[in-house]
Amino acid sequence: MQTLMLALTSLHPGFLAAAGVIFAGLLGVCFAAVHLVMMLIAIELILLGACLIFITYGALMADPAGMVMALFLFAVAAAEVAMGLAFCVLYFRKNGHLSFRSLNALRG
Amino acid sequence: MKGPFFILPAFLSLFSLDLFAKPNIEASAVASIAFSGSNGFLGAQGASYGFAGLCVMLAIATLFVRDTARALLALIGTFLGAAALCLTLKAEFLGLVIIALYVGAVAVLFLFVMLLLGGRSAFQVEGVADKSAPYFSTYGLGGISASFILALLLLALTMRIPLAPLGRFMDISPVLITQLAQVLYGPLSCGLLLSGGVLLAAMWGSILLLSEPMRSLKKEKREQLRSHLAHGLKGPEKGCELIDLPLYTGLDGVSPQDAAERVSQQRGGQPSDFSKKEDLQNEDDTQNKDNTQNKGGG
Repeated sequence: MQTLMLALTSLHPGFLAAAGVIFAGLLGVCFAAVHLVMMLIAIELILLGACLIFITYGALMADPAGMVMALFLFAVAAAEVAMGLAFCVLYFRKNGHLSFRSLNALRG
Repeated sequence: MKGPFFILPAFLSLFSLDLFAKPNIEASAVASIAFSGSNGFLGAQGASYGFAGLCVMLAIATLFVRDTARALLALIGTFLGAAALCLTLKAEFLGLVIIALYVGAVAVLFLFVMLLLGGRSAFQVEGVADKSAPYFSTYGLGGISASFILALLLLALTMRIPLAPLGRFMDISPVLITQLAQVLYGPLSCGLLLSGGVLLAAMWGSILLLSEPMRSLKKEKREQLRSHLAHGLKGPEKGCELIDLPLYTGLDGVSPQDAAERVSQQRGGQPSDFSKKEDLQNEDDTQNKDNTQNKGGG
């Protein structure tokens, strides 16, 4: 317990925020995603947490490579959102809803 | 959204973690720590803890607020908290990029798609409004987080753990944009090209995804129009009907009345609508003439 507290309090808050945001995103993907847009939001949170880790590492180590990696992750996140929302619009046109529970078209 | 309900645990977390960081304080000196400059509760490190707590709280609120529009607002708050955290890390450029990219593009894209799909009604999923749905209560989540943070606070006041600097007390030297550019266009230029390719592919793919149904829609409309012409707009009785006619009926100097007669012969000997209309018009003209003559005579 003492080691955990030591790790928690001695880490930079950027890492703590990244851990919390990634945890919230995983929680959302597992439990709170009832429609496709909510799933995309949860994935966005996970990517934001990864970006925060890169940015904090780059700032603490004075290494610009970490921040450049964060920039690449931004591009990946933007691409993911564009494709995901296009898929959402397509799914809504076809089915009339965005519910996750009836997404079983590939089931044999 | 229960704004104060989430802000309070954020400040409590900030407070407890700052007490962890200063183990040798007395409990009565809390107020002096809160306003003790750059190393205190409201100083630079305290601000980074505050933004981190706010970021996490809003991220959790994003997933547990039932209304999707409010969830998107909480997501924007999370992005802003992350940008503020970047500012405390002396990474101003990336903080501004987060605001421009995430808040200005991604969150607005989410809102725009939500608007296009019909507002909040499009996101109503069956069973979610019920209490039996697998959606956690906002109050329950806030209570759990507040109790966890209060437990941390009590532990911090009692245990007084000695700390080792593992990033918490490191001096942060700012990374300049020129250094970023040197790395971005130097050793990692291949990654820059790849990320540009990923963005281009995503743009192309989304346009293709959304333009393909439009083509099929046009095909469907064309088929629908053809079937309407063949079977009538209001059913086969009232609509027009397409029949095969010989070439000489329309364009070789035949009068319309003769053409109508030939069409009626093709259809089985019944008088055509055109010839009926002509007869009716002739009858109307003769009646009108009679009426005018009678009026003139009277």
